[in-house]
Amino acid sequence: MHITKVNNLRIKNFNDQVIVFDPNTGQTHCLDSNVNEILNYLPTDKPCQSSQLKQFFMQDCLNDEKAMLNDYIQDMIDSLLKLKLIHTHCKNA
Amino acid sequence: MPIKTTLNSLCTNEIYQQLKNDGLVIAVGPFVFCIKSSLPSIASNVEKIYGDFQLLSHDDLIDFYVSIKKPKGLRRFIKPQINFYCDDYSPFLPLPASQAFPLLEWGMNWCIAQHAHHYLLLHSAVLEKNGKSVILPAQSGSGKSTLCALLALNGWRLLSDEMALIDLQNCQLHALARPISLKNESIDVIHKQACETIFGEVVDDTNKGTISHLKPSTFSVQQVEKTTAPFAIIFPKYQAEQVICIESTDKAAAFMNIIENSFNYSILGEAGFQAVAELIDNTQCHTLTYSNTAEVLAFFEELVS
Repeated sequence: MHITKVNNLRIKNFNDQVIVFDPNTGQTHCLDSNVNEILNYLPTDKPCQSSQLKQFFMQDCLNDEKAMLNDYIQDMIDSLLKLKLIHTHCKNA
Repeated sequence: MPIKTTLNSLCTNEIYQQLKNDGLVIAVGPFVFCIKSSLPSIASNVEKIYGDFQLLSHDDLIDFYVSIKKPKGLRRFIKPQINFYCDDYSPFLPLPASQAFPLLEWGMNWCIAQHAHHYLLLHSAVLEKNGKSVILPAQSGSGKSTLCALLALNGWRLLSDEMALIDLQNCQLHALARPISLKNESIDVIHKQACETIFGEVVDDTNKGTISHLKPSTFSVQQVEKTTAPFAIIFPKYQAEQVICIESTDKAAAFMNIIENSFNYSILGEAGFQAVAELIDNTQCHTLTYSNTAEVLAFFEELVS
């Protein structure tokens, strides 16, 4: 799955949480710092493979930790998709 | 400094005639209302409650033309009803004629909430003491207005009991200093305070129960043009027999709570986001649960000392 972050997000950081305003939808969201890390990693200009993103965050982890993290990161990606803060892209043939 | 003419300068009959004919023009904070009504209850309550407000004329720029009128037809005479109009548009269903003054107050709130989008508008009380302003956002029924009245009767300047007006350009709070709407038991609670209180008529059987409006202090109305920077946001909750409990509120949670209590955040876009961000940055945020009047007053005195 290829994903990009939505353009023009406005972010306000507060310690362990961030407030994200999406001017495209007018929605405001409160995200925890882990979800924000995922969001920060993603570019807005070119799609990033979700596997690449997971690999970045799972580096130096043990195998059993990787399995757990994989599910956790996927949950966060799914949440961001649901909030429409990221988009998926079809891979070109 | 020019001397302002206030509504007190008119006699009862003059007030009644102006309301009945071309309308009574008064300054309400940064807004100018022209109020029309031939109902005696409107005249008597306006005279009693708005006496300190600046009287203007039809030559001044008027923001809102509002009126309370009886309908044509049977309900003019049989179980009489009244309607609120803003510029000849009636946004509400009719109410019993006995609820004329509360309807006027609700209607004036509606006018500001619907149109004043050069402010971030919050459903909250706002008061100031020692140069420090406190915003009290809260849902209806949380005890906000009772707490607001208690503070206003204990030396605090009332900016508003219902709506915080936060300037989008400079984050300053603007005052309205309008009457405080009290409901049900809180009317007696405030009546029993050991200081002078002037109430409008008590109106029963409204959709909020029994309502009466407390006249704002002359001091608050005279200071209405003075803006102030927000100092603290307190989320109050009255809970019977609760020992006073104050907790710092996580700023992100306070941010989301503020936008939930906003009348117009959803239409302000990025300007609203930036205004709330600046507000949260510049204030301390707490939740307050209380039941005892003396304790809660002491807390607020300590907060701004």
